[in-house]
Parts: sequence; structure tokens; C-alpha cells
Amino acid sequence: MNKLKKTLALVATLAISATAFVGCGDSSSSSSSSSSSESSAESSSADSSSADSSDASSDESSDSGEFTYSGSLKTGGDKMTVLTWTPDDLDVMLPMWEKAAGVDKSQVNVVNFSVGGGEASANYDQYFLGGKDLDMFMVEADWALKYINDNEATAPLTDLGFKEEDFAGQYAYTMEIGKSTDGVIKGVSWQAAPGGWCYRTDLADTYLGVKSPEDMQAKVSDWDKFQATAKEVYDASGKKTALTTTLGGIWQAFAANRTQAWVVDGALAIDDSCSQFIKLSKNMMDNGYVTKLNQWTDEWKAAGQTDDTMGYFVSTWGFGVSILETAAGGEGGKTYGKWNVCQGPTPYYWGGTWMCVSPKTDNADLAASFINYMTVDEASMKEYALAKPDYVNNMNVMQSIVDEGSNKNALLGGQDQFAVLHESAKAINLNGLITPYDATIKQAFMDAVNDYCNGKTDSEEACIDAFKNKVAESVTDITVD
Amino acid sequence: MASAAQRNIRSISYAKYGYIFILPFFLVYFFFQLWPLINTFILSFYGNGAKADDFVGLDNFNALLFGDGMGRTGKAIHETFVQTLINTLIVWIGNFVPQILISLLLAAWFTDAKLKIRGKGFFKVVMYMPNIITAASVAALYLSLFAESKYGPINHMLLDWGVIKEPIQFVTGVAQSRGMIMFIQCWMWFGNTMIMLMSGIMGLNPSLFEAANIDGASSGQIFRKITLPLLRPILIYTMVTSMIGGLQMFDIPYLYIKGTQRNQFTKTVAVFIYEHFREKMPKPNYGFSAAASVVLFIITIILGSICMAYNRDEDEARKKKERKAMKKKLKEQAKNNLGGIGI
Repeated sequence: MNKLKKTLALVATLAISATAFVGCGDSSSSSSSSSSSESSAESSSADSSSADSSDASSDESSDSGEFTYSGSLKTGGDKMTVLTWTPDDLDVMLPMWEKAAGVDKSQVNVVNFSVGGGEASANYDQYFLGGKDLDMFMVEADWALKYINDNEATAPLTDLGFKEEDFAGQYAYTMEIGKSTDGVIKGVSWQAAPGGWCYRTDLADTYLGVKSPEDMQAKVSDWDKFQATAKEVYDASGKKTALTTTLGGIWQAFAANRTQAWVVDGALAIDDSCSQFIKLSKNMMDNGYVTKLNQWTDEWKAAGQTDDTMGYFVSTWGFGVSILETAAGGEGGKTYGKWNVCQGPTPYYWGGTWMCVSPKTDNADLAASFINYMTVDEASMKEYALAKPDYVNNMNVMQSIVDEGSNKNALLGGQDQFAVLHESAKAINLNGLITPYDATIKQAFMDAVNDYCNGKTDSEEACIDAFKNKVAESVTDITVD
Repeated sequence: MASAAQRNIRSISYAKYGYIFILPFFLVYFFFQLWPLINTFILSFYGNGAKADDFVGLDNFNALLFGDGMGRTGKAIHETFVQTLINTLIVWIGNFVPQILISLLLAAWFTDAKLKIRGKGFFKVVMYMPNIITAASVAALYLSLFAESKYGPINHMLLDWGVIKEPIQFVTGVAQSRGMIMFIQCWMWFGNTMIMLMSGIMGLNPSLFEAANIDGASSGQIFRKITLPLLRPILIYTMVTSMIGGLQMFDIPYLYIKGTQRNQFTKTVAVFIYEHFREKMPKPNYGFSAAASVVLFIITIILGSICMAYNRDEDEARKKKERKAMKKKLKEQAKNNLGGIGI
């Protein structure tokens, strides 16, 4: 009896402590186990189907070329672990690559943090501290440099056997972002995200008499014309319709005018474009040329179904539900098909995801094969671009897709957005203007400008002062005068 | 002569099992509560951003509290911190005062035997309900109801009725956003407070109320002269818990914002701490975050002590003092009687 009690007590105690310390494990353990069980369940079917698909994949590989790994990093690990914050792209990319490269699904483990892009970095840091298996991870442009400048976190792609010429077809700006401050390529993207300006064709016709995207482009080809056209629309609509929806959207494009990085020699640099943007914003906001909405609110997207706004700044990924499709009310929505896209005042990019490889990888061959499939091999990139559909990071591929003219977007009334964006993408020039602090500094700037335009600060100087204070408070590693 | 079994029994210490049972709790407490707590104090003496490993002494406190040192950073962080402290106090007072008044009134009504309110259980549940909904849902609900454009339901309605000409800035306006958060907090917590006060009132001796009734006291008199004084400990308890909760107010102020821009007039200290702990790229400001936590901790202790001091029963305190004096006197006497030999 006594023994029994003691045993019970011990078991209960162990159970309590075990459950208490369960959190000490890595967060991916559950997801990896679930994915492995999933894959084991499916592996039998995959085995049987691999026989049928093997001839298909050999056909593909004959025209896409076999990939052989020639790098110096470790190979032969158990699983390739990929960190991401959203599985949207990987869910399409990985199966296609697995099929083409003959890799079994169980060899790949995706750790998905399911957070916003901005929060992913904090989750990565914790994962890195845990010392778990890690081969690849996805980064966003705003904080890519944090890892790319860190040799502990990212390996040069030359270590995987790639040469700079391999990426010759990529858009120049995407290569800039993938380079560390001293010029080593450590990140590479499968997609480019050039942006354009989308507008309502019916409103443009009524208020401006504009019938084609080319005519519209002529009316908004620089920022002065953009403002003049805004006035025209506002007056013609009886002070009802704003030319574009948010200041944040304007800023996405306007920021491409910057001639200086945000941080120069460890100090915050505020160039002329900031002051120009503040003036432009104030002018547009005070006169009702832009609505008072903020980006990423429900009303922001809902405005697309009203006559309050005529346009949105949208980048490649924004033509889906993330912006424009929702703004049009979805398929069959109120303004679905009544949109067109033109390049807008400046060529610019907005967003995008880059792939980095950890120097501690033990599956370098798989990682290299994946990178080759998604960013080097034009045949497979084209296949992916059409399957997803996505705007892939290769000028030749996008040129051929544009030439074929197979992309007719019903949301845009049959216009091919790739044809417009392709021109913008080639013209984007970053001049190495990115810094690791961009995410925080950009947010601080937009907050300050919004406050100024909404009357919370009363002069341009006060606005810049508020911006400086915010940066000084947030980023303690740089000096702010 | 004790048998072997009896000796055995005497040697069994049951306390041992007790310790084993509570050991897991203490282990968990040590690793996940106590150590992080101590670590917060340690971190508050270290640097920010890339200099997180440098010992900086009291620099963080100096910057937060007085804006000294660190140039613009110090001044900016001081301004923001003071602003967040003021925001926290305003929003807490603005939600606590109406909340306690409503709760007290409802609690008095619901416990009044003379009123015979029907469906008490139903009302209690309904009033408690907002507290069950997660803050995230509540914030989402209010954000969509009080959306700022003219298409926001409330704004749309008011515009339609001609009450207002321009949409009201419910989320970004200074007074409006604070008012909204006060209202949400009040709405979420008055049910909880009401239940607590009701249990307090029901715990009072009913004979006091009966006696008062027989003596012909009015409801108002009973409430003022009997309920309130006897309820004081519960009221103070409510006040202290609400104050601690209010100083740490986080979820609604964090979520009730427009888009991605934080409203600087509703940003509370807890949000400030979180921002510096988590949301600064590329490196978080652990030092400021920890120092602000410590300051908040000290403020909580001070305010809590003040409340507790009010709660002191003065009669009891006086008696205690008298007892002490008596003891001393007796001791003195004993000393004298026994010629200086202490007992």
C-alpha cells in the first residue's frame, strides 16, 4: 500500500514537472512531428505516384538541365529545415521542386511561424538560440541586412557553388538587397516586386477623359503631374474623389526617389526627398487629394468599392486578395474588372522575400538545388511563374511571358499587369540604399508625416523633429543630431 | 516497549511528501517567474540595441526619468515615457471611477432584499459576459464599429441623422481614443467588480440590515451608514487589484489603433515596455524596457502601500499600540521588582 502511494506520488510529480517543462523544447518539434507523420502517411502514395511522374520529371529535367552540387558546405544531413513566417509561397514552390529534383517530401521540414513579416525576425532569433537544425530561412528586405551582414547567420552563395553570373538574369535591385554591406551575395530572391499605380478606369474616363493606361501614365508620370491630376479629379468629381487612397502607398513609391541611405556613417540622414514628401503629403491631404485612411485597415481596402478614391499603389503580390482583388470586392465585386495599372510617377518596388542559407547547414546540396530551381534555372522559373502565378526574378523569363501575352487579368479588365511592371522593374535603382534599420526608421517617418498631415504637429520642422525623436528613441545604435 | 512497527511509524515524516509534491511548483516558479524577475532588474543596468552586453549602471533610469545623458535619445525617451505614464493614469482613473460607481450601485440593488429584482442570475451573467470575450475580439469589434471613415457604422449613423457633419476620429483623436479605451475597459470589467462587491455585501451580517430596517432607516441611510463602512476592506481590495491591473494595462491600448500607427495618446507604459522589448529593428532595447518595468514596479509598490495604509483599521492599530505600551510597562516593572534580572 505504502509502495503504491509512493509510486503514485512520484508519477504525479514527474507528470507535473514534465508538463511544466514541455515548453523548454523547441517550438518546431510539434510541427515537425506532425509534418513527418503527414509525410509518412503520404509517402506510400508518393512512392506509387513517383513511378508515373518519373518520366514526366525526366522530360522536364532534360530541358531544364541536371543540377549538380559543387559547393563546400556540408551535405548528407537528415532533413532540410526551412524557416518562414508564411507558407503561401513555399506550399507551391516546394512540391514543384521536390517533383523535379526527385526529393522525397519527408526530407524537407518547413518551420512556419505564422506571424507578420515584421515579427518573424524575433522568432528567428529565438530559433537560432535553440541551436536546432537549420538550413535555409526566408527574410524580408526591411530586415534582411541584419542577417546578411552576420557571417554566423548566413553563408555566401559561392560556398554553395554559385557564381555571380548564375544570377545574371535577375533584376538588379533584388541582387542589391541580397548583398552584404561589403558586397558578398548571401541572399537571393525568386520573385521581384515592382509596383505600379492602379486606377479605376470608369472614374478616369468620367473625370479625366482618359481611355488607356498609356494616356493615364502621361498624366501621372511625375509627382508634379500626379498632384495636378489629383486636383483635376477632385474638382471634376465635385470634391468627392481622391486620386489615391493612402499616404503610405504614395510613400512606397516616393521612397524610390531617395538618393541617400537612411543611415550614413552611423548617423541618421534626412535628405531632400523627405522634405519634398512632407510637402507633397500635406498638400494632398489638406486638399482632399488623398483619403484620410491608413494602410492595412479594413476601410482601406473597402474604399475600392466606393467613389471616394480612384487609385491604389500596388505591387506584384498586391493584385491578389492582399490588396486589389479585395478592394474590388472579389470576383464579381462592384468594381471588379474596372481597374487598370500604369507605372505611376516613379519605378519602385514594394516587399519581396529573400532566401538565405545558414553556414551551419548540413543539407547544402538540397538547398543549392532548391535555389537553383527557383532562381537560376529559367525553365523551372517560368513554370513556377505560370503555375502560382508569381512575378519571378528573371528578366528573360518575364520578357518571354510578356511577349507571349498569355496573362490576361480579369480584375484589370484583361490587361496584363506583368507587361507594365516589367518595364518598372528594370528601371528600379537602389544604389545600395538599404540599411538594417530601415523597417523602424520608415515606420517612424510615416508616423511623423501622418501626424503632421492630421494636424497633430503644426510645421514641417516640428514634423522632422518628431521623426528624429522617434528614431533616437527606437534605434539607439545610431546618432541622431 | 515500542514494537518495530511503532518505531517505524514515528520515523516516517509525512512532511517529506508534502515537499515532494510542491517541489515541481517551486522549480517552475524559480525558472519561469523568479529568475526572469531578477533578470529584469539586472537587465535594467545594461545597454540597448547592439550594446546590450555593456554594463551602463543607472544610465537607463537617468534617461527615462530625467532625460539626462544619451543626447536626443535620452530626451526623446524621457518624453515618451512620461507621456505613457500620464496616459496610463488618465485611462486608468477614467475607467476606474465610473466602473466602481456603476458596480457599487448595481451590487447594492442586486443584494437589496426589499427590491426583489427578477432574473438576477440572468443580469449577472450578461453583465459579466464582456469579461469573457478576449481583448483581441473586443478591440476588433470596437475598431470596426467605430471606424473613422464616414462608412464606419457609428459614424455613418450619426452622419445620417445629421448629428455630426464630419466623421468623428474615434481611434486617433486624443480625447476620443482615450474615452473609447476608458469605456471599453469599464465595460469589460464592471461585471467582475460588481460580482466581487456583491459577495462582499452578502458576507455582511444580515442582522445589521434587519435592525436598521426595524429602526426605520431609509435605503440611502443603510447604504451610507452600514454597507459602505463595512465594505471598506473589499473596496480597498478592488481598488488595489484594479490599480495593479490598470498600471499594467496592455491589450486594449495595444490593439485599439489605426493600421500600423501607434496612438501616442493612448500608449500605456506596458505597451512602451513591449515596444522596446520586441518591436525595434534590428536590435531590441532591452535596457530601456527593463528599466521601465522596474520603474513601473516601484510605482506600483508605492501606490499599493498608500492604499494599504488607508485600509488599516484604526481601532485595531490603537489597541495594538496600547498592548505594546502595556507590555513594555510590565517588563519595566518586572525588571525593577527582580532587581535588574530580565525574564
